[in-house]
Amino acid sequence: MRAGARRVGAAFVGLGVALLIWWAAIRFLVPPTGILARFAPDDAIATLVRLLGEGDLVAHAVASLRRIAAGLLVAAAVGIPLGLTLGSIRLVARTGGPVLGLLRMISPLSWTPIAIILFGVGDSPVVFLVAMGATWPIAVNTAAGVAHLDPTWLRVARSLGATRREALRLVVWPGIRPDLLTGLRIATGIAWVVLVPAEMLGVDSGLGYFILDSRDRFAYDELVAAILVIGSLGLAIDGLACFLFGNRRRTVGGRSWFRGRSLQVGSGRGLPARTGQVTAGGGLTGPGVATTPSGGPAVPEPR
Amino acid sequence: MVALALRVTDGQRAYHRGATRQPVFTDLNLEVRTGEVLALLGPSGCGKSTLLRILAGLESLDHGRLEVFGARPSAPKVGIAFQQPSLLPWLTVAQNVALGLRFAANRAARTPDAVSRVLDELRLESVADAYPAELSGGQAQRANVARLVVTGRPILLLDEPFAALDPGTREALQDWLLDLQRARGLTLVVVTHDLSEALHLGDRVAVMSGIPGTIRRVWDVRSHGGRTDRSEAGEAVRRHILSQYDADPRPADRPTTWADTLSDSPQGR
Ligand SMILES: Nc1ncnc2c1ncn2[C@@H]1O[C@H](COP(=O)(O)OP(=O)(O)OP(=O)(O)O)[C@@H](O)[C@H]1O
Ligand SMILES: [Mg+2]
Repeated sequence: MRAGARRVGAAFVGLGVALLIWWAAIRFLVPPTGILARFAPDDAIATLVRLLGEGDLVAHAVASLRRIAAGLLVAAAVGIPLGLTLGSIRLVARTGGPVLGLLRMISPLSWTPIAIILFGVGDSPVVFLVAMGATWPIAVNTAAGVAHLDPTWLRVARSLGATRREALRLVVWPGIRPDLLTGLRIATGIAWVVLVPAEMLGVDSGLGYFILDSRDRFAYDELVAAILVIGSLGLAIDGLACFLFGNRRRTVGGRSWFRGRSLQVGSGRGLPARTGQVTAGGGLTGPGVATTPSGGPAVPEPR
Repeated sequence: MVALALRVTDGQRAYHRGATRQPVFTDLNLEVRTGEVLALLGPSGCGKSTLLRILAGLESLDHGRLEVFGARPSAPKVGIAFQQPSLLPWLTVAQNVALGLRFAANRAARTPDAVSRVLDELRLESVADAYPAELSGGQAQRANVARLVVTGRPILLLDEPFAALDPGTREALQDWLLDLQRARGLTLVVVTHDLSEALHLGDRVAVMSGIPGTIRRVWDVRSHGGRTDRSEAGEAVRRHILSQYDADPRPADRPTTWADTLSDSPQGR
């Protein structure tokens, strides 16, 4: 608990220092009458408070979050079955693996023209682009989870008289869940990164749209306020994803049961096994190709 | 006529490695009587574990017949504890032991204290909430046995169940197993590399020979003087194994550990 408070405290100190550097850079490095001077943090924060009060920015944020949710849903609906197939049928893995490897290396935004041809303008192309970025990490990690399933676990289940369904529910599913959740977490980060530029194309809501709109209105303070919202929401989403997806049970006792493919584990050790300390925090918001399960703080902590 | 729990007739089994077909055993005949403890000895790699998997219905014979209680195997009667303790890493020891009871096939064995009792008997209560990664080798092995025992199967196959235990614990668990076997009228097949363990546990001792394996001989060790004095039976088994070892045209195939086991083993108790 104490350590947790200290961690939060450190985070706030870090944010405060960043803010100070930002402010100082604008104050001392930028001519006070130039355009850049209007990107100062004090203006932006005041504007942010005003915008939040007016509710407009909130509406845009909600629109963005809805698209994220839709895109992730599509990605999971495609990626999980795809990963299960890839992971369990060797022929599919051998033929489909390279295709997947190729697809996931393509920046999702390169699909923009195709998205517009396919879906016109509106929500659908944005959701398509988000899904295009988020499907692959889900598929790859699910496939890895299936491939890593220890055949002896299944043999144990069979020897204990499990039916197929029981084995799926009690052995296969918990066996692949950690990888699946890692995939979802990575996908969430990618989705958020793809969303903002995608919303700069032919929609009239969302945070990406709001940024373009404030630029056109020369409302640079609003633009910066939107950037602050994007960053904060991204941080919050990743934190939520860690909370929901980070498999706490797997790291109980300070050890993870998958050597080499675990989320960063807390310092708890040994019995009794209920430290429950998960430090799988930090950002996984890299732009798209991080499909190796990884996690933990954005900046690795020195031991 | 003694009722048979398990019977293999003219069993054959081969594995394919690449293009080559490697017979594990040919012409294997084995009878396990209901209510007995059969100890199974044999050099490493001769097919003991393979035989147990077949008896458990997890693999099938290429040729030959398997009967469980005189019929084709159907309802789960046979349980197996694998040589490698294969505990599920995301479950605690208690949850691992309870795993079998969550399957409908073992519904009959569900009682409120079934798990805690067996944990207690196998001295695992202190690690009941630990995860497999936190166990010692011997603890994992005992958990493996516990998971099998709670299912209440009448025939249990144990593949080197006490291999990683200190002598004291091992003896205590051997006695625990025999008590359990008598109390429940279980049929046991126990694979071991330890001749004295085989003689202590077994009503009969079967010796399997090298590749391709068969069961050469089975000794009724109880008829040689009961469980307290088995030196005579032990000597007979030992002589047989050694003669086999000497007669083997390819002694290099035999791992030295097998010979070591023989020369180091004390005679039956
Ligand atoms: N899944 C498999 N695929 C191919 N060959 C196998 C397989 N399982 C076992 N074998 C081979 O079958 C033979 C018998 O193996 P098995 O595990 O039954 O031996 P064992 O008598 O239990 O040996 P140990 O005493 O060392 O445990 C070995 O030569 C082994 O290499
Ligand atoms: Mg074996």
